[in-house]
Amino acid sequence: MNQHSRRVLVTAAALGFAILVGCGMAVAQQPRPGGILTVADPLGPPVLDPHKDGSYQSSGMVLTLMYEGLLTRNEKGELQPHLAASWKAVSPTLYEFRLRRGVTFHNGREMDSSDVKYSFERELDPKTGSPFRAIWSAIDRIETPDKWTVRFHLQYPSAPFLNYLAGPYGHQIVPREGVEKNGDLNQVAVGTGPFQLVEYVPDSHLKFEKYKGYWKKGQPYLDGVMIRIIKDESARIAAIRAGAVDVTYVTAVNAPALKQDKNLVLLEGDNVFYGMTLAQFIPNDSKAPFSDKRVRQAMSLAIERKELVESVIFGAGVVSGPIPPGMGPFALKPSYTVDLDRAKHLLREAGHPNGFKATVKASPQYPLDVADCQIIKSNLQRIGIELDIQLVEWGQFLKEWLGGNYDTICLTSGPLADPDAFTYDYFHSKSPRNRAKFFTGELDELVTQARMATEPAKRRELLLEVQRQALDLAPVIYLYSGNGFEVHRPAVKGYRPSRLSRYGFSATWLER
Amino acid sequence: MLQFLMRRLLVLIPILIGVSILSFLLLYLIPGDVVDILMGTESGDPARLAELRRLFGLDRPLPVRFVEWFGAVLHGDLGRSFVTRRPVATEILTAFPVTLQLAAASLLVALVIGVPLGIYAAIKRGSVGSAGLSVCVLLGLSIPNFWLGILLILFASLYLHWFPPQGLNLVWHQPWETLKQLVFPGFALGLALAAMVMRMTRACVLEVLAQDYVRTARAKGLAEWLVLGQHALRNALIPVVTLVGLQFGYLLGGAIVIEEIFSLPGMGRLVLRSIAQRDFPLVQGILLFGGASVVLLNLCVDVCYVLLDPRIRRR
Repeated sequence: MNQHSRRVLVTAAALGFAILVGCGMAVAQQPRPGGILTVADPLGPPVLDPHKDGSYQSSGMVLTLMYEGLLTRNEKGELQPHLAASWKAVSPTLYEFRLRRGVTFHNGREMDSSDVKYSFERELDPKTGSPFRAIWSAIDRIETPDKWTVRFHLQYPSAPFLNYLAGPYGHQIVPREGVEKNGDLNQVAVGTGPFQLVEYVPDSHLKFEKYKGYWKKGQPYLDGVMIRIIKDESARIAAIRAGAVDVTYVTAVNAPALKQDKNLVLLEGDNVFYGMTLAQFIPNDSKAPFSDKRVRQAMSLAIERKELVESVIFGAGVVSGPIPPGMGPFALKPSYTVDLDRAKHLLREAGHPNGFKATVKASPQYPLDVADCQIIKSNLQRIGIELDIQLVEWGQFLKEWLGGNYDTICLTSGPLADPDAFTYDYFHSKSPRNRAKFFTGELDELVTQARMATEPAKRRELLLEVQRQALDLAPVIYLYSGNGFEVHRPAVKGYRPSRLSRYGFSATWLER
Repeated sequence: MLQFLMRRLLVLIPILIGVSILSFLLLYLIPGDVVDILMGTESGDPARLAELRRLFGLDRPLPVRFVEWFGAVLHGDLGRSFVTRRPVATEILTAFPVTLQLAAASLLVALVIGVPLGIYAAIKRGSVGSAGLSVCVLLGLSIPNFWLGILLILFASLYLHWFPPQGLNLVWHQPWETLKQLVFPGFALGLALAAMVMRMTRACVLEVLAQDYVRTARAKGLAEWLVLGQHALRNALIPVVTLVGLQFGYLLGGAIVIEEIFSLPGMGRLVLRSIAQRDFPLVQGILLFGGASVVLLNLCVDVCYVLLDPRIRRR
């Protein structure tokens, strides 16, 4: 063969190869059906009924696989239609939703407006004992003019309403017959979600199978999901390293070592599972000396928040105000200073020139809170406040805290869906979630207005003002917001991390 | 023999009643109840809490609740877990086999390692091997079992790329999977027990070998292994049986930390979970079951004595 034809052949081969590789890469990006995704979680869901438990272990980790709501969120956190194909705000107190057709429950029946009405009324019924009654308290009545339309009449304009409809808790649509036949949804799961629960052994595992009638055609790609409950973090890490598990969640302590591992993908940030936590130091605002705002302000001035972020979470987070910075434009960027002289001056003014003794409670189930207590204790010693750290078992801790039987506590709360949960719930004197026993009502008017401000710019203005006043009044002393960490094997594709939920894994697939 | 068994079984009744009353009281006295736990940080609304307490029957006086529960037990109904709503009997019967096989695995490790090494140490007393074994015993007793467990898992995952199978595996359904699952926890738990068994076996064999009848047997011209097997061991092993029986009872309670680390859904985790959640019916059921197990196990040990030692039989 002569030079010329040789060159042509080589070029043709190179071109052919390039095309093949290109095709191969394009094919590799296409979701591949099949496979079982194995997830390792530290805790199992205490309760399976979506209307009865708002804990992270249920809603965020497990229920999103089986149940869905009217709306959902995209990667940017913007509201998207889900079980509702479209919606409009007819007036500030009337929302109308048009439902998607062809959505079926796991028992085969098609979902319609009566199911939506039933679900919300069930949550509002005191006999259900749902913790979400408070979220939907704005609802006056629900109208279903036809099978595909639902109208929510609200008692007052509610800014968080639409956001709560996107979950991750209290928003799930359930079928009436599922509840009535079984008493509740703790033993069986009948939802519209991409996976069906096949087996649940408490403390061991949850086995899910693909729901073939899922309304998103072609999804889910996976044949099933297996959630293994492995409480010990080193065991979870060993499992994922050995390839026994595909996805898991870890804490800041182990993240640096996993980052080095070339066989694993580490996701870190505030919009990663269990990210955007809010660590708080909560004084009992109904009890002296903490009822005096000067004392609270003095304590806030003495706390070294940067030290907390560095030592407790190894820098994986940011200093925070009442609303974590990751929540976006609604969050006020706090400018804390450490001023011991001013702090001592405030204490003197409040009648405590030599400081005082008090206790701080935390539960050893949450080692980060215990670490926070230790640093805060040494910080406050500098202005004469002697804190005695009391570690209390969780059940007892809840009893004492919620019963008002405490001086101060250290607590980290998990990610919340809406800014209203950080403001109205915390500060309103009548709110059942007013954890600091802040009953003076100084912020009532403002948080109520912010809750009813459906227009975004006005809402933002009001929320920023709430935060400014909250930082001044200091009913709760805010510390930092921590990141979440997730680890998965490279074969897991299409996985969308989010601090609030696992978004059903419906768009995830496995490359193996 | 029958009379002996009947008497021992009758003792079971007052013991179980006592255990039930005590556990009822203790759980009641601990601050917090299941409603607090289920509501978690959302508990704020006293009206809702009161309603939930009424649904769980927690608003009625304590003696009434106890009598109701006891009456149900006499009919064979242990009630339902407050949290999972599954029958208590199901929860216990699902968790117990897991703990049973873990205990059996640990026991097997302990006996297979401990008895032969104990005999060896007794026969070769004074030798270097025996001294070395004493050091091993010390190590075995000192190493915390949970630390060893975590170490084994980490080692396996990093160097062998292997992780024990997870989930509920029962030896009669999935024998091979169960074996793989139990090899590490069994070893972690069994090592300390092996050390105890070894020490006990060595002491007992030494004592027996110094007896006159052993000298007689040797004088008769009996082979050494026959002396050991036919005459010495039978007597030497009686205290070992006691030790093993007691340890087995302890293991049946559920090695909580090992079960947590290896994610075995056994009694240990069940007990921990039910107490943390203040799940009254489940705690009561477990303690009743536990109490009965301990008493029955001691009975078995005593029966073994009778079988092993003819002198007791003749009495």
